[in-house]
Amino acid sequence: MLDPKLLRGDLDATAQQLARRGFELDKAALQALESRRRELQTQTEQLQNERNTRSKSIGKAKANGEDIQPLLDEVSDLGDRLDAAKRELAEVQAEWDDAISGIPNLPHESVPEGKSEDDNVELHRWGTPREFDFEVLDHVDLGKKSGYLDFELAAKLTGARFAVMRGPIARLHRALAQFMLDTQTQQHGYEECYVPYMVNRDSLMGTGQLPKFGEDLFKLNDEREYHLIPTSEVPLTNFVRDEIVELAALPMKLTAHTPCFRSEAGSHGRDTRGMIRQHQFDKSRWCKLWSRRRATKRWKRCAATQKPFCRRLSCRIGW
Amino acid sequence: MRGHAEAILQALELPYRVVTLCTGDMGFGAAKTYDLEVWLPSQNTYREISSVSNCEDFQARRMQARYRHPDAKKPQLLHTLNGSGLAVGRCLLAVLENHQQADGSITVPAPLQPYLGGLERLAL
Repeated sequence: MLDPKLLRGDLDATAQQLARRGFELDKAALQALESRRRELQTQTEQLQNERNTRSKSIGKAKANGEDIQPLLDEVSDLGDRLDAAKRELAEVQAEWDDAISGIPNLPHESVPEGKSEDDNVELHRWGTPREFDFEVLDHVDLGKKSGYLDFELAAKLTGARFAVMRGPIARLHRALAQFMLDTQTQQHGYEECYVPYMVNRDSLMGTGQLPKFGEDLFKLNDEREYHLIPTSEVPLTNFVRDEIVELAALPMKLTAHTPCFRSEAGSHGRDTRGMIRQHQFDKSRWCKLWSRRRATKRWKRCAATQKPFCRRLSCRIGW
Repeated sequence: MRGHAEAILQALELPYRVVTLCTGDMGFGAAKTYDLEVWLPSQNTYREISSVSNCEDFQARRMQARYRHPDAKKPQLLHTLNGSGLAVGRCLLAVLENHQQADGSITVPAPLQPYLGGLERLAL
């Protein structure tokens, strides 16, 4: 979620930044909500003050032996109006929250502008692709020949975009997962975690899959609204949801190896062959939570010349 | 974090390239994303195998994930950095395809051998 200050004060600049990633910010709608919110805020405060003043005068009137009924009626009427204003304020606030939860993050200034993956910018390459003196098989044919990687069996068991691995290929798959976990925990200081493969709505809201990208997820058909995790980033990052951690606990470096489940709703027949795009696949995920100050310091080291707007966006860092 | 993913691909002797995602290709919560793409000989191209994103305080604000700093009066928002590590399935197919031999066997990269009982070659 973007800093609400950017959407209240710097609306034009924020809209410009969002336009870089192809997101059109509905400025008019936000401005309308914001002015309504301010109006209701002032109204609520005024009603509150007025009611307090009137309530106090009841005591005085009573002491003077005056008829307090008209005052009581007035206070009760003010109370009703205050409740109504508060309710409306809460509605406008909820509408505002809803609107801004659908706005993506601002791209860092160093991100190249572009529309699709064709505009991504190559940084560097490592290694030279091997020259083969025989006909290269792809993994589907390699698996079919040996029977150790079986998409047809998986299709019988479940459907398209699943795989069954057996024997040496299943073992190689496990070896890779273990090698990755061991490297991260033993060499790079990450803590190994085991996490639930289903998460609740709050977790998915926290990492941003919901409310906008629900169709990419598998949702369980019961009233709890659990979803299968599309990546263990969701459970890992949500460790700190609604928490205040001590500085000494940072950076928090977490890793988990889990299956990931994706509906691939928008893939439209892309990569239907083999293991490239599956509904269920394993991933070892790394998640690092760190302090803003440290991040800022690091950012300052690596980016000396940022435009003032970006500086105002707090700590935009490179890594 | 990107270095960690690169180190793993290098240890597995898999050629790869690193790309910076453009503004239109980045995920919802990311301020900046690097993708690692591994070479797939059968497709004669590089395919995504890992993604490292800096979400800055975007996720933390949604989650109200904060930390206490002695110099600050109020708790501050955390920053989140996410690396996919590596997609194991895509890594598996990259190992199968890049390290295949004419007889159909697979050469096992050295760091994986201890996990396979010391096997240097996987007969398929």
